[in-house]
Amino acid sequence: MIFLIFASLAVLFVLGAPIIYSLGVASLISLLFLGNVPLVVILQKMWSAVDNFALLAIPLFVLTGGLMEKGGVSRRIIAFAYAIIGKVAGGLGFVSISSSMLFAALSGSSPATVAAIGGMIIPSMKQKNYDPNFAAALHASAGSIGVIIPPSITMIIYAVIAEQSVGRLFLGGFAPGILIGLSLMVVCYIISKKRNYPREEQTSWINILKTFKDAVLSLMVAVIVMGGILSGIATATEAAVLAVFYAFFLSFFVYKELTIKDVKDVLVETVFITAAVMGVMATAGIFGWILVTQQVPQMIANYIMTITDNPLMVFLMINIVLLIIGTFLDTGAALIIFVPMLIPIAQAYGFDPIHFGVVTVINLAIGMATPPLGICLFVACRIAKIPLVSIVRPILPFLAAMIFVLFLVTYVPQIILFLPNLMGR
Amino acid sequence: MKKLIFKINDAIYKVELFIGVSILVSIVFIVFLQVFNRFVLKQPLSWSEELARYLFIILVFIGISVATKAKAHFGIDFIIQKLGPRARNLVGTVIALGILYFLWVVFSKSFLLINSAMTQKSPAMGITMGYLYYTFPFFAAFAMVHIFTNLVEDLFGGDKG
Repeated sequence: MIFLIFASLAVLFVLGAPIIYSLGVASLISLLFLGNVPLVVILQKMWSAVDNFALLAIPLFVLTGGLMEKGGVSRRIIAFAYAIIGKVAGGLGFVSISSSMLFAALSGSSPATVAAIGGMIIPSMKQKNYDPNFAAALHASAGSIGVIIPPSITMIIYAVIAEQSVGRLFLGGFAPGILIGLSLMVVCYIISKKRNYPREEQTSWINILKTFKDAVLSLMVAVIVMGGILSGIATATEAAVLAVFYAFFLSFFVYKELTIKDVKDVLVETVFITAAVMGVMATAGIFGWILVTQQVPQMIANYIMTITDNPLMVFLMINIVLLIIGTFLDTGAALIIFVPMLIPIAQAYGFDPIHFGVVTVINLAIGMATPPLGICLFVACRIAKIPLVSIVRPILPFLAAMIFVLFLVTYVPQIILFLPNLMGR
Repeated sequence: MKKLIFKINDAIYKVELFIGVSILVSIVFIVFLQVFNRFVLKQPLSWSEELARYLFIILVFIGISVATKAKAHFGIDFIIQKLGPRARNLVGTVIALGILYFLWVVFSKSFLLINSAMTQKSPAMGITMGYLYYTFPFFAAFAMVHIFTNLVEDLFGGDKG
């Protein structure tokens, strides 16, 4: 039975069926095989998988990101980063990493971060004779910070499944997000030195201030979101709505770059992204439910416990499994299928749920930049106009840096937990 | 005949997209109203959370159908791209039939769910849950049309009649 459900899922994946329907059809096959479950359960599980107010934050954050993007926000952020950090060796690389980190604070999605920042910087890197493969790898890895620094779609989904506070998870993402950014900068610096990538021209303090003035209104979105949640004025969903209004007013009335047609495009785009993310959650809801009724999570937990009872080893194994899953599976689907399996393990070993959640999200974020199937790789390659194979080697040092940070925050939980614990419960 | 299918398909798509965007905009205003009433007017709304949540669920299912038509769902297609055109069509047909069967199950079972929920009211607003579950037959029927049309398009070419 367990073999049947996973085998049918794997076959459907390989044959190119969309993930959302692969999960649905594989679940249906298993239910037909079991025979004693009324099929109406499919509808009930799909409904309840998306019936949660916290999930409404997802389309709202996507909408915010889209409005900001059309309003010319990424250009302003990049100009600011350029003024500050452009003058070191391989300056453009630093600009893209720091811009990705700032953009991550406005957007909850990694592919969106790659598209927004990479779309602007990769072409100019090519012009300045950077290796396009290096440029694509840099942006794919930097963009994956998008779901680590809050707001984060992936964290919202985790919070809903694991019944944790979205706000505390968000806070936990700050420190690891910044650490990953810094570690990528180190790699970028070493490579740029070796290859003699150019410095950008020195700018004046006045220019830095000017670009800061331009960018600070955009970055206020992050303040609204986190401030709204932390002060208790708003839930994550409500904070997201405030961000939508702010983004609209800023882009439409202040920057005056957003047109009514843009708004329409962003709305349509948001419907698509919401459907793609939440649709997978709906069908994964059936799939996950079948696994639970077959007691697969317990079996896996028990199995892991027979291998070792050292918590550090268990966490290592979980990390490795999650990294592999993150490469092959859409993050929403990965979370809804695997988090229910992992939580009992985490509880048995006394891992802090927020710490465990942030580590899970980092794992999946790294998975998005890992060959062969990381979504950030696809986006970056498409922008750089290079085939997927040529990004495989240049991404390796960046992945190594990210995995290093992953293990650091895994084994020093205080790095993640410091901020959420300040907030209290 | 083929032309007619494409026409119906496009018409459904346009309606769905219009409803989807309208719902999204409504959600934005409802949730805003919720914060505003609670924080500024100090009079929390009892119905806003529930209404926004149900609208969101409808949005998700309409969106799934819309994204089906536009082939915007994630999938791993680089293996199948390596196959020849005939093998690809064969695999595509098998998958489409599998998906159509899944959607058919959703469609046919939806009436069971609707009938069983006709006496069940939502907690805050007292909406009959059965009406809300009408989302399912519409979603499944529309998505079936999209899957079928996409298959016709793949097998017999685009809308040249």
